[in-house]
Amino acid sequence: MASFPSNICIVDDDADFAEFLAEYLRLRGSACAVFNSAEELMQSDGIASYDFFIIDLGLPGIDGTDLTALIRGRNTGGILVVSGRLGADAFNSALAAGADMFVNKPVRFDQVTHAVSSIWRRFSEPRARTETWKITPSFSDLISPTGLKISLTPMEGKLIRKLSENADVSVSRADLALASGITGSVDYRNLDATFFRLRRKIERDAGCPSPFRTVHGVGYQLSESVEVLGKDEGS
Amino acid sequence: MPTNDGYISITSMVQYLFIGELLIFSLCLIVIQIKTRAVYIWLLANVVALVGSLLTLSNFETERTSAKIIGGAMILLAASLKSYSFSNGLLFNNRNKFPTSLLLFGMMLATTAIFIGKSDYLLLISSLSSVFISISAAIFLMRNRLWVGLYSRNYMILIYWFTNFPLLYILSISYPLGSIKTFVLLEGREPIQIILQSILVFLAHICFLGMIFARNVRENVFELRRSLRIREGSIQSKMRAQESAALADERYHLLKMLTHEVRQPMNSAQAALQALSNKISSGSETPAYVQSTIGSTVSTLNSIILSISNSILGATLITKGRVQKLEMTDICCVVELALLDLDPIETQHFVKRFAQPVMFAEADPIILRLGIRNLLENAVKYSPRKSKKFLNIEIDDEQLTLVISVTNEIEGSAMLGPDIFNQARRGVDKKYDGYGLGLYIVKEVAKSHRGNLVCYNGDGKNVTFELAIPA
Repeated sequence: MASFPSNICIVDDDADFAEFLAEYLRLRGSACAVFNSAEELMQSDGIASYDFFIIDLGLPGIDGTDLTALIRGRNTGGILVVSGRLGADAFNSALAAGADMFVNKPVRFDQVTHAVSSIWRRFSEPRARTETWKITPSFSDLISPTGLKISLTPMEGKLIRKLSENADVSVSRADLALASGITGSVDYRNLDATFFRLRRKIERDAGCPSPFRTVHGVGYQLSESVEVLGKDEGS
Repeated sequence: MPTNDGYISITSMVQYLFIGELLIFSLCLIVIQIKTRAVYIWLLANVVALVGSLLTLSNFETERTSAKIIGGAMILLAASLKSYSFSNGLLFNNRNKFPTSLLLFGMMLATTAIFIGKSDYLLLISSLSSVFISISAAIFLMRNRLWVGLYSRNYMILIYWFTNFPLLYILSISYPLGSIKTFVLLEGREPIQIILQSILVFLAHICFLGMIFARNVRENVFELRRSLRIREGSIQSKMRAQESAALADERYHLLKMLTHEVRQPMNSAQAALQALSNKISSGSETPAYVQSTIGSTVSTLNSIILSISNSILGATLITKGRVQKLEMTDICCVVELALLDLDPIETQHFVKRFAQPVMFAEADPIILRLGIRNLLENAVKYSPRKSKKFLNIEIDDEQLTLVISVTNEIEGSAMLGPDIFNQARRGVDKKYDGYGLGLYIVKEVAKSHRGNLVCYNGDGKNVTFELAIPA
């Protein structure tokens, strides 16, 4: 896998910044196309041909968030949102639309390239996004959307099984402890520690965040769907 | 009143005593200076009763029967007034309708007694009137909220119920109705009747005094509570006013700091670029000069950006209105970005050690990056030039956190006061620029990530700041 995307698309209404950034990236050996609005990009009809997008949120006309969602519909390439707009809203809406990372302006070119390569690094070649996480029927191996395998201990398997059985709701620590047989302290420290270690293992082996999240004060919940392999075939 | 032979009859004597009792209690009611409607009504009732008693008294000696009847009726009217005083003036609300009708009926009977004059039915009518009046008083007392909860009220009710027993006795012996004998029956027993009446009036007055004292105390307590609440309210609003004044002050302070920290470096950057432009136009520039001028301008711009970012975030944090949703974020990447925020010359003096190449935690990458950048800038600012600094991300299996730590050499630990994390406090002397907003911001960033910030200065030579966030 190349260490850096080869065909990058920059959409930013700050023409100077976009052009200078394109120059900088071209010097690194990537092809770069610059568009000053979402409409320009869509008229070019080449969305599918890029392997990476750098998008500004505050675009005239179609907003950067909408453009991100639009690109995500047609292209599985990496998307970095670079924006001067501050605040959790901008950040959350960008990520919800399908961006891989959000970097706020002012930003230096070396920071942009760092962010690009760190997103790029997370995906294996060819950058095939499968839709969901998968798990083997015996709950012994978790497979990331990028196809990397994480082997689970029996206890971790039981935890993921319990979470996937209650996919749409948060599962209390008490229920998880009961399901996995993790006993010990009243405050479920052992359970939390197991999840903590599992998270680190998934990050290490798959390079992406775990498909479950902590529900503070309650327990845990799946944040992405986990499909049990072979289930559809009725096995 | 003296009899013909110079002595007064026992009946007159007890009647005098009754009059004296009424006078004394009326004086008491005046002296206690509790000016409520009920007290005024009781005073009026006592006056009416006094006049009635005097009329009755004169009757003993002169046999003026009509005066005796009017006197008796007045005593009954006085009793009605006292009963009315317990209604708190609300005769016709739902609660009081029943006792009011009893009272009115009793009063009607008392008035009838005056009109029918000396009659065989007089005793029956006056006794019935008393029964209705005392029952109405008892029910007023039981139903009226103003008297509820007062201990003396219970005795008062008891007295009014008890009053009915002798009255009912009199009623029972007035059979057959209209018999003149029954009326004559009282002839020799009038002193007993008056003594009984005096005792009941005495007890009623005592209870009434108890009730109005208790009510007065209760009202005072309520008044005190009300005024306390008002005072609390005013104290709270004063505090709010102080808080908002402090907030305005903080904002002004930030603005001032922003102006101070930004204007000067902007000026320097502008000067550097102007000098460069002049050199280029005169053709005397050298590549090295261009390089160094641009380098220092970029560095100046960097510091301006930090100041502005800190001020914006500081202002946001100060207003405390920030409700944020944290998202899964690659902490390694955020830390790298923060490191790249530094001057490139400084970046190379940092030794990075990450426990894993990718580590996610729930975070706001924008403010976390700024927080880490402040830690890094501090490490650069307060350590010897070109000294090695360490930037680590460790996994804390005990606390279940990711720990971002920055370690640098330091010249003496005196600058690390206990309040280094507070806003606008700085443990360093004036040779360093800035107002110490940085560590305050890092602390707030830690807080908003449910994490914490600690500082170690173990060997006195190195200082380590650890920003731990749950992951």
